[in-house]
Amino acid sequence: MKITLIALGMLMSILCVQAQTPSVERFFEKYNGYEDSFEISLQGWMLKGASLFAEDDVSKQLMRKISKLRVLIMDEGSLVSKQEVGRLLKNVRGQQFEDLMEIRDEGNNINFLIREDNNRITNVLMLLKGDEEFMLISLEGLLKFEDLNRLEINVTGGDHFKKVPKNRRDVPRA
Amino acid sequence: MRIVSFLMLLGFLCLAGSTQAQADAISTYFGQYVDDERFTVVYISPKMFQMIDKLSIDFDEESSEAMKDVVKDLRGLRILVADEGAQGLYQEAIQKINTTEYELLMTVRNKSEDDMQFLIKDEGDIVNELLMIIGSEDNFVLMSFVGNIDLEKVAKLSESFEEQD
Repeated sequence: MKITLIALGMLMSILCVQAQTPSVERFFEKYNGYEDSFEISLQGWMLKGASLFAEDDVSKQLMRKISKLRVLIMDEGSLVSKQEVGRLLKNVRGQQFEDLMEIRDEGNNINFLIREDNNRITNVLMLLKGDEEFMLISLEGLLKFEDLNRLEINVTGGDHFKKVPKNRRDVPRA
Repeated sequence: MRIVSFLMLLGFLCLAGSTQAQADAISTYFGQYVDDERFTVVYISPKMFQMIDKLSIDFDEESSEAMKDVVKDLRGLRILVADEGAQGLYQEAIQKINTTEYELLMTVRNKSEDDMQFLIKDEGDIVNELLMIIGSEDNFVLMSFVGNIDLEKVAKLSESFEEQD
């Protein structure tokens, strides 16, 4: 039964151009009930409602383009194994997700991936796996490239989005 | 000689054709460090550069134009940083890099004892990869830029940084 369901799910994801990503959804479902995990899922009208709290027009407009936001945070990084993270990454890469950036620093692994359709970004995925924390942010919507730049999420993960390595600091001073 | 150029062409085509597997120095020679916790590893994908190109990211004003110019032709960037054993790693790096593939462009040694080497891998007039190896007392940095690199633009960019100091 389970296999049939999984197969059906995979078939559906191939047939429809849909924003949902089965492997990501499954990941969220799996860690849903864990004691040390915090999960928030906003979609539809709730997200539009959240956009009312946005501080400026830019953020408001941006939030309207996001159809679903799902965040999973765990204080204990070791609940999710490296293999699981690896498997998730492998799965999403096979589902048209492309890597943007990968940073590994002192036991923390951060991955940014996106999925596009027709020059619009339909999904954004941020994964942070560390020894002491785990975070997964999944965003679905219809974003143009300019929008991503202004993306600001009021979760602690927000500053990771801005953590694009500033090439300047890596350039050696002769 | 023809065989060599044929092989080089093949190699170039493979590099140009592949989106995931990038044949850069770090993957080739330092692949084993990618999972090593002593290192900080950064990878910026071709996709990211495409996006940076499409966005108007706000860098510092002075270096913005020069930065955009260089960035738009980049395909990927890998950085490897280590705090421990920097000198040893630096030596290891310079020895490992195959000098037939990579041409030494420049070396710098300054008074605070930083050692730096710039190497490139080119196909005729186009530079496919720019490699920077830096070794100081407590820092080892390896940076590999892959793409169509115009060295003049890179020079302009470093000039614009100098102006800011």
